[in-house]
Amino acid sequence: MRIALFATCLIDTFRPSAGFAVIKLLEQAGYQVDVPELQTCCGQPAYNNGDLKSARKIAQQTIETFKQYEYVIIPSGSCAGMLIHHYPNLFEDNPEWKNKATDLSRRCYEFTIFLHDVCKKISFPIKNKISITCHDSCSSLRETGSKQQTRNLINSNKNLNLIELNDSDTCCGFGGTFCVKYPEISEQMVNDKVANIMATGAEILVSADLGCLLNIAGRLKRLKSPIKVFHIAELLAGETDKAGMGNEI
Amino acid sequence: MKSKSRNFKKNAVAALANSTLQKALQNAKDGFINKRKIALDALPEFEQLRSNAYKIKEHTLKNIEAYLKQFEQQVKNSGGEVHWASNTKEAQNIIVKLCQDAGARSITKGKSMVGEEVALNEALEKAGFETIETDLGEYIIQLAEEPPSHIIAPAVHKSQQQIADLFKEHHKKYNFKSKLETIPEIVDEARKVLRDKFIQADVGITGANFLIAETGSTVIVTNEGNGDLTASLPKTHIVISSIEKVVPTLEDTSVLLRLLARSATGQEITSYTTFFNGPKRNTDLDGPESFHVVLLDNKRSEMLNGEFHDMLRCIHCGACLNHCPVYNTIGGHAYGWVYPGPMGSVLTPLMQGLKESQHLPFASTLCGRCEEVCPMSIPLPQLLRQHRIQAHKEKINSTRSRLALKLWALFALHPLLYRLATNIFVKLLSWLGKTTGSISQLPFSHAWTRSRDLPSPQGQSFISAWKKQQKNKRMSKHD
Amino acid sequence: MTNSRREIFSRLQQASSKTEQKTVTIKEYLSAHKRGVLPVYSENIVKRFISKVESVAATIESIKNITDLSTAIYKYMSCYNIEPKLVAAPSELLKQVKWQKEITVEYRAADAKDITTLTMAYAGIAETGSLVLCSGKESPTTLNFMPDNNICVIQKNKIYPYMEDTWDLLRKAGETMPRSINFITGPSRTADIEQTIQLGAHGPRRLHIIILESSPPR
Repeated sequence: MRIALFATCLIDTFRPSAGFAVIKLLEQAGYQVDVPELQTCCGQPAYNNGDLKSARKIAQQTIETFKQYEYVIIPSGSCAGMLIHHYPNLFEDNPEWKNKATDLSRRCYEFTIFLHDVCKKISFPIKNKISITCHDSCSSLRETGSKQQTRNLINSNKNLNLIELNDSDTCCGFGGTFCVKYPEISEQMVNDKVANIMATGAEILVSADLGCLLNIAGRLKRLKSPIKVFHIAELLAGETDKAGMGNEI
Repeated sequence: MKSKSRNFKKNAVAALANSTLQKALQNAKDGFINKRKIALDALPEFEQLRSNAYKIKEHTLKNIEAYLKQFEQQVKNSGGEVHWASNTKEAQNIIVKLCQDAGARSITKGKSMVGEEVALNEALEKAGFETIETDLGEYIIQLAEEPPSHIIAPAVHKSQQQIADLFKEHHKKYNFKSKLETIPEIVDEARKVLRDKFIQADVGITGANFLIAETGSTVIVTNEGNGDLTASLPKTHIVISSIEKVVPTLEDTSVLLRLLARSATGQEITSYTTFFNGPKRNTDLDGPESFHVVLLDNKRSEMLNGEFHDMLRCIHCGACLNHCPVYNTIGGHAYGWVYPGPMGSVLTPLMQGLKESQHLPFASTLCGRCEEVCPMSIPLPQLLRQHRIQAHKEKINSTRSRLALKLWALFALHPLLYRLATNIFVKLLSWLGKTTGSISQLPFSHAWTRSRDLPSPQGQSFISAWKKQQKNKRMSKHD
Repeated sequence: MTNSRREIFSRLQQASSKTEQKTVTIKEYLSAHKRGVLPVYSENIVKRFISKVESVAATIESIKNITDLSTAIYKYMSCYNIEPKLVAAPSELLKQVKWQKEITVEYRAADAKDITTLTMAYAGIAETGSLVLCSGKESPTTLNFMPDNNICVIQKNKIYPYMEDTWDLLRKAGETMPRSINFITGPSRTADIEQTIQLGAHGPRRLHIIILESSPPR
């Protein structure tokens, strides 16, 4: 079965290795993965900044790009939330596109949910014991609802020792353009998050959302913390011996 | 109170640098969140109550005209009077006039956010009345000449020491001179000072959490008992409230009360929940001789059929403030007007103008925790987005951010151009970060790098790398 | 300000005419008194009432007959070193009490100097451990809020499961609503200073509840 990867603009730009890890896992589960080249961004920057006209156009472009695939896999909670929940809302006054958006929405899966709910029997090649902690993005908590799936995936491998974060349901302060519009507030928020991450004593931080990860990894790096940061797909694909985000290659 | 929302950014930076405030915020956050959680864990019916409450409020809003008329009639039947105020100025005028007619000199007040909304204290003081807030938190901020920083805990930003200092300064005139070392001592001195004020007051003004159409009751929930002393001791009791607070029946009110206290303070019910019905009866031994309800509109009727309709369900529990990571980082004063946090960022632009308060809807990560905890299922992030849409339409936000957005959208809508730009961007950033794996200074954005490095890309974009990989695969197949 | 009234209602009318048709008329809705979701609990209501009262920092005891009231109150006052002076609600029942000579009792509304008051609850609510007090000639409201110590008598058979039971009782009594209906749950408290709970903000510092087990003679 052919399925498509919506790579997300942040993985495309900053973390191709996460994209390849997603493909590796999906192929291992028996899928042939396509990456439509005409994809760009899901449109959140326009949508969350009040530019509905651009958001609609981008949504239409995305809907067209992915129309022939049975499944569209999105390795990011917030982009998944955008395609699944907000695309249909964008076309309240346009039944034709509302239908198309709803149709796409039904075929879209956040990556960890797909791995957990749809791909049965998948094992992860993790060779050594690793202590990790996991940051749930706000969208994965409140839009896609993938907290439990993430936990189950991690706990299914006995080499992974998950240490839960305090205040794990609090935002890391990324918030898309928020972090550059209100950098001082964002800094305090990511500081609180990073303090909780460091308090776990884990070697590795993972998350299924690259926006949060860029924010947190950037702060950890600034504080010279040794904690390595990976997209959860990289962890599950057994690739944490490579350079983490912000680490020297 | 004049809105200072325009200065949100400056206010926020000052709040972040204020260590007393930061300590108070940390303390309050943990307290509120934990108490609410314990209360909800003990209430398996929470979700049912929540959908029950939603239906009650929606039914009420659909028929609000009829329920307000019924409420008015029932207040009349119990011997009271209802006054209608379209805007804040009218509310001030009505209340000043009522106090003048009552021949008042001294006025006690129970906590009322609508009172804050209409800047009632300023108006009363200007008209020459001695006006005393009696809720301890409100009293503290009245002495400090500050607005509330939280809708249910107005002085949550103040430390014990700051309060002791305020009392020392302001209670000298009542011959209280001892240094207040403990919280019980502070509370006790406030009790003594305010007790005299309760006795002397000619008019008592309280707010209302609910207005009940069935009976004409106005409901207050308090823990201190100040609201009841305010309402029962003076000769005149004035209730100031707003039109969306009406609910049909006593039974409906019971449902909302179950959600209110738990969401606010984690209590099952507050110490005092009181239903007032008019002035004292002929045979009563105490109570006010006259009873007035002043109902404020102030843009609410315009919200009824518009995009902000859902906000009219708000019961002012404060849960959205307590769970907002932005509120918890900067406190209430930074928002610049009387309603802070997520609910305030929706209401302030509606009441004070979007231009004046343009920062508020944007100063949120849209993390959705407010909506998650809201007992009235108000989609706060969506309402904030609604303001952002309006700001974009009216070209209120900065030219720079509009241009950036426009440019970005141009690329996002032209995939080939987008690929090209991404590839250049990735190459540039990879080069900048090639030795350390991250970039500590960016030529175009100080906002990111003031507190963070930027993890550098991995040499090429994912799509380019994937294309190359596919090509190689095909070639090796051909070989 | 009748103009404002007209304006507000015209705005509301404009908005509501666009909303969907009313399915239930207001009159029907109001007279149905439909109860909403009630939190379920399995304990016996008196037991629940007692444990809830204790959880909000009030004290509670039971007496068999009204004739035991004087002794119970005297004991309570001695225990907390409270001056044996009471201001009591002029209720039929409380007025019949034969007080022991150590206690002085006045039947009236409260004033600023009163230290201890005695009141008679209209009902008790087991769900939350709340007392219901309705203002009236036998029950001045100030007694509930002015003193340092409030002692309140509740008849055991007037403890009900939910707040909603109060509404039924009031409707059954058929009279108009009292001026003030107070649901009192524990003594007065504040958390306005650094989130620390401190009892006795403006109202009573102590609340003592006495359950009267027998129904009093008519």
